Amino acid sequence: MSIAGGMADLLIVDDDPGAGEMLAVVLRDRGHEVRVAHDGRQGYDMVDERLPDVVILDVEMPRLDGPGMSRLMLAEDVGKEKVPVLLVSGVEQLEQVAARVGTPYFLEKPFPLPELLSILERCLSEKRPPEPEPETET
Amino acid sequence: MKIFIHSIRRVAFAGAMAAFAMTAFLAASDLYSTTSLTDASRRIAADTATLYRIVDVERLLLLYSRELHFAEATDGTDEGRERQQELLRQLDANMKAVRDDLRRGEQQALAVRMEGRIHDYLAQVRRLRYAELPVSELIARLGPDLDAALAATRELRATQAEHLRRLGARESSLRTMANGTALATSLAVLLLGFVFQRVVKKDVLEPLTSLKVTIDRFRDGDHEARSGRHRLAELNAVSRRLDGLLETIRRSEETRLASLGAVAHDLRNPLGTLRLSLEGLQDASPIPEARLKRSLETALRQVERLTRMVSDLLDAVRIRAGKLELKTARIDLREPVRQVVREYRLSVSDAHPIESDLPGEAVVVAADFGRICQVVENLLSNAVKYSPEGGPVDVRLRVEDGTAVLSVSDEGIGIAEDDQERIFQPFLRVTHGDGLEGVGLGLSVSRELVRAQGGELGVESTPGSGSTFSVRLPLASREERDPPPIAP
Repeated sequence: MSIAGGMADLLIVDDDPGAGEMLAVVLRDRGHEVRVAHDGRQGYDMVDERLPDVVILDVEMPRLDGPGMSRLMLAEDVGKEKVPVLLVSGVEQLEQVAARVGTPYFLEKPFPLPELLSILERCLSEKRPPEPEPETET
Repeated sequence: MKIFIHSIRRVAFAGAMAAFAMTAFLAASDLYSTTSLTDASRRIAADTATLYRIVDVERLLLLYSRELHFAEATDGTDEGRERQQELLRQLDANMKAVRDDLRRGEQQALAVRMEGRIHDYLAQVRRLRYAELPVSELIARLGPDLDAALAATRELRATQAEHLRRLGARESSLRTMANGTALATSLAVLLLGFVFQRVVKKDVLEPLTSLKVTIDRFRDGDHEARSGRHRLAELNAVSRRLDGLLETIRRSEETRLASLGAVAHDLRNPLGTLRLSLEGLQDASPIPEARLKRSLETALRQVERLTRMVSDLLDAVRIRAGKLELKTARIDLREPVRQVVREYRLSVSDAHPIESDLPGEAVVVAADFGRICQVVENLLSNAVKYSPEGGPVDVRLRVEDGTAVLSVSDEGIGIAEDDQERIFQPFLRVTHGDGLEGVGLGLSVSRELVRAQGGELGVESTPGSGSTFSVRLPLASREERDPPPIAP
């Protein structure tokens, strides 16, 4: 268990089943409780079910994409808006997507495992929820 | 220069005609002026000579009368008589010449009259000189006849002089005209040259320079550089073709870059998962057997995905380069379908039951068995991928009007109408509700594979309720008689 304070409750949202499941396996190895959703809508339902400590969120997904799910979580004032979001994706210009979502945590695929673990640790200790800039552009 | 010139040929034709007309006109007027001038000069010279002869006649007549009076006054000498004879001979010769010169019109009549008067005078002289009259009376009696002869001579001289003056005036105007023609010629040649220079510069040279500049700019990386419209039809056509070509190059360059980007992008997911599945094993020790098995399975699946993506990429390149090789044979289309469905059922979760509905008898087509398997696999994998909430996938094979129709239907998210053609284009990414989804190369390669075997691949879809992809292949036995397959 590498994370101070013990195990965390994590939610992985990734439409690539192999990717989501493998990440879950690796994180479970490290003692975390991990659930996996395959698109934004399913992920949102799982957040509704039980608030995770961190959402590890893909960007491109069918039905509801990562930024869309993050927006939905912020829309209600019932605790979901306080969950930090870690964007993990292979999309181009991920940094800009993260800026739009308002999260300081993002990681480009493919990534070395230690890098994921370190950013996840940061996520769990800082617990900064997304703060999107007020929408000035149309 | 607002004449209607739309074509180099017309400019050249108009120019040639103008130059020809100008040359012809100038040649004609030069010839006319020269001939007229020469003619006039010759006539002036001749008539001047005649005038001198008339003056001579007058002079000789006066000399003769003086000689006669002198001889009568002094009783004369032989020498004096000879001089009179000589003067008379000269007078006669001159009158004859004048008569020869003047054979027309007013002058001829006057010449005849002059001759008549002079003969009258000479006859009077012959009559009176033997009358032995005193000199003063002789002079007085000859006076009227001499005056009449001189008057007739002077009248002829005046008329001839007037005639010469008129000739001179005409020659002078001819000279002016010739000079005018020469001036007009010079001006016309200058104008024509100027106009040609303007036309050639504005309508030919400038557009050509613009074409060259466009090509240079494009070569130097300005992919928006275009040559635009020009006035001359030929140059405009060249310009339009060049612009079309540049646009094609630009698009193909864009597509190539987008393709490279898309390929790299699509490789990221399986690579990421592969890396994770191997890295995750590094520090877990000892590794439980189930955990190891799972990681290896995942790693292997990613390698398979990567392999398929690279194969698709190679196929796409081969198709583009026209180097796709097919092992076409008469096959029962049910076989590849059965094989792929069997394999797929083993690898897909229970959430996606695969139903197949195949006819009882063989459906024989001329096709490449392996390539057909590839197409069916691609359609099945898409059907599963785009049914995230599960749902059955139906594979049906039937024969319609000599065509084998193989369809794969799902009850997934469906495809917006605008995207139904785009998904068959290589590397395109399609918007899906709130998200973006990479469609990669699978569908584009599948369609090309089906087309290369004489068939067609199309889709019918309702967003939210699912999609049906249909492969149509002509039946082998009736291939020749059938019309070409129609896209659904």
